[in-house]
Amino acid sequence: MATDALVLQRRHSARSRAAWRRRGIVLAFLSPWLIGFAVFIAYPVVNSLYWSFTIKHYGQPARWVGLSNYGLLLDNPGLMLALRNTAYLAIVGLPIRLFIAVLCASLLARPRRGNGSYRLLFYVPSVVPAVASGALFFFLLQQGGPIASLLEVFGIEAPLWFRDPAWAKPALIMVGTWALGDVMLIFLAGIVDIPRSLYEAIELDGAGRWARFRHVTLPMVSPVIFFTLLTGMIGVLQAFDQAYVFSQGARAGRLTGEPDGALLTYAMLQLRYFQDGRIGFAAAMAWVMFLLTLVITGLMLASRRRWVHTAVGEK
Amino acid sequence: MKRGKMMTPKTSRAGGARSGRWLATALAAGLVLAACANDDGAEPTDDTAPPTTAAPEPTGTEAPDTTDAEPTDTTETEPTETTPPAPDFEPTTLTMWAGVTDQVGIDAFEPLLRRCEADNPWLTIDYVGKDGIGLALSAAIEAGEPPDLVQADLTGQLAAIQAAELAVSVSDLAERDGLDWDAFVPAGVKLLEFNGERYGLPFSVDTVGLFYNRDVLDEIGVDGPPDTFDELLTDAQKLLIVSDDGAVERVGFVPDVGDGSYAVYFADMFGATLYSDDGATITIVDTVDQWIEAAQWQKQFYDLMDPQEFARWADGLGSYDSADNYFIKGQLPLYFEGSYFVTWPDRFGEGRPEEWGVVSMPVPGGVDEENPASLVPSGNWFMIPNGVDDVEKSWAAIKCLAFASEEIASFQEVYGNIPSNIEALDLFEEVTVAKLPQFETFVDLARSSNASVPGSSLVSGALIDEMTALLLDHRRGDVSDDQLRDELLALNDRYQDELDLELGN
Repeated sequence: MATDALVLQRRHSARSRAAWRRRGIVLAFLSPWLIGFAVFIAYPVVNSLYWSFTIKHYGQPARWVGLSNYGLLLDNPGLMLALRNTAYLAIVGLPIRLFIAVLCASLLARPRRGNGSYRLLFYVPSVVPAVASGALFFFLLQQGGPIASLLEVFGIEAPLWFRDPAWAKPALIMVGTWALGDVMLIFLAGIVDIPRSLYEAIELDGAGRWARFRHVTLPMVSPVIFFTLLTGMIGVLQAFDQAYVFSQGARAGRLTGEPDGALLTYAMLQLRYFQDGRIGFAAAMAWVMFLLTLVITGLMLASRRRWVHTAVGEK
Repeated sequence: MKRGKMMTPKTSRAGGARSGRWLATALAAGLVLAACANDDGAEPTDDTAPPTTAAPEPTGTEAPDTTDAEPTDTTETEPTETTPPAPDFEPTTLTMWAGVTDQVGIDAFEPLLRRCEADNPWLTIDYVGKDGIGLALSAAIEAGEPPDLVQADLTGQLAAIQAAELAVSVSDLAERDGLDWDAFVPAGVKLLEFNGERYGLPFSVDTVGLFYNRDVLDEIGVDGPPDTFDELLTDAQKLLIVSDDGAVERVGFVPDVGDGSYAVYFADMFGATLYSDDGATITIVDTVDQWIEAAQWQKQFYDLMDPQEFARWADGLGSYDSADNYFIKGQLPLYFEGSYFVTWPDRFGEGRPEEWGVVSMPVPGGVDEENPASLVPSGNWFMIPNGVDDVEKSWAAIKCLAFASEEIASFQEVYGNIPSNIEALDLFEEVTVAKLPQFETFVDLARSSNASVPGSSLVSGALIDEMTALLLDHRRGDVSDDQLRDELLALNDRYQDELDLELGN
């Protein structure tokens, strides 16, 4: 008996040692990522949270000021302006971009000659860097530029895209919509994945094109719509480059989001404070944006069950 | 003022997963930080202008006689009596970060480096052209690896430099060595001075003046450029051309072509200020009447035209640095600009030097010919970062660079800014002004003791941005005079609160 117990104990110890060894190996393989995560993500995130409660200048120790940075930020009129601009881009721009992407994807999903070339053509703009596409549209849309000249041929006066607050954000949305290849590709994958039998079934019921799109395509790609909406929303909240390029074109060297603040984004506002070396204030801005992103994402996730189609057995 | 380069971050599109959101937030902060490039670089240079090849000519730390300076002998390479004795150090390579990043500028800078290496046999300078030096320097000092010396335009950033102890104050070193600050133009010294400390040695100043197109002035029967504010407004009215359908075809004069880049600086002419000399107090409230006067003055030029038509005109203007430049094409015959623009018409237009000139900008009290009020929005200087291995070596190097008059003059002939070193300024006047007489006005403005430079405070950038946006609103008529007053006072209070928090008051 005693021998059996000893053998069992030894086997148990051996298994335990083997399990620890396995864990060690797993950790060893994970360690590059873990170290990278700790150094480049976890530490900066925690540090920025600490700095947001301090006055911090480069090279100097931080001085604790509690919630003062947050208090001053809430008093800043630029904050509301930037949030209003962001809301416009999210509420108007994002749905337009997604709708056109779904439309293009559903057209390109049908097997027909030359589809590959069309897909490539639609995708190419999305590999153009955002700054380059901003500069390109600045050239295209300015007075005397190709688009204004074309409109003039038809007797139409081109809008002042970069000097009229009413047209500045639509110009920004236009650039975003032009580069919809990445989103379109995701939709395309989703649409191609829809079982053919669903279309056949609805066609037997006498459904037309719109009914097929409305009752089959849309519900089946709704998880993709949800995903692109979520990532698109995060992208809009962080909008900077194209707004900055357009604003620079209207006004040299500053971060006022000209014309008339119509292009001021949250990130541009934040850049002001980085440039002044006010790290604590800028960190507070980053955390306000993080909380805002968290709330919006949470609301979107909460709304998911109401409109996102899930297959049977999926939660 | 400067037309420097800006890095722009690519918008991050993080995934929808929770870790993605964390990552997106962290990356957004990192990318924005990485994008904070200032206009530290100097002006773009003429691609075709040849770099200087003049032989080195040592200079000293004594103030040269500015009234009858003799040209130096370009073949002379031996140090003169005024050259400070070369310090005896171990052979050392010093790294220098400089705002001059284009190849033409780097080539033009090269003789300056070689000259100082020749004067100081122990010294080798490793030149690193860098955009956004302000933030890069902060990061390098935080990491404990600053360059040994810096040449940059850090105008308006001295409060942050002092608060973060980014640079060595050279006041004591200069006093110990008997350095004569009068060897530099007053504005050059003012630019690097904050709270009684001087952070480096002057290199160049950016002066601004009123460019005028003589041909176009002749067209309207005006003899010469305006001397007073009233004349400027009258000329602007006469020069304005609006077609029958209401389209603006030519604008006589507007401050900063409508983009607001000089909106705040113009207010200086009216005595308006943003903050106290020590950067600790917002002073808008003390000069609110002057701010309103300055805003009204700017607005009157925009009121001459329909705002939409003016916007359409401005939007259709050609590129600033091209043959389509609005001044060169005669679309804006009275134009407020910096000295570097003197090289533009020659570079992009044909036969312009005979047809255009530059004068001091009229000011409320009229132009003082002897000592004109000079607006110096920015400038460059040599600086020693905090934490360098050996301050004495860096000090010896920047002293040599700041006093290498002949090489500085040659460099600015290519670059178009005005030397701060008076001996270099004399040489510049003798050589460059002889070729481009329009520089003469800028040389006079640079010499003026009545020069004003931007102050500095820990809230400078954000405050100037908000002030600019507010003044643009007023120009457009979106904000009345009374509203402007209220907004200015509110800005004063809010930024004073921010400043108090930053300073721990």
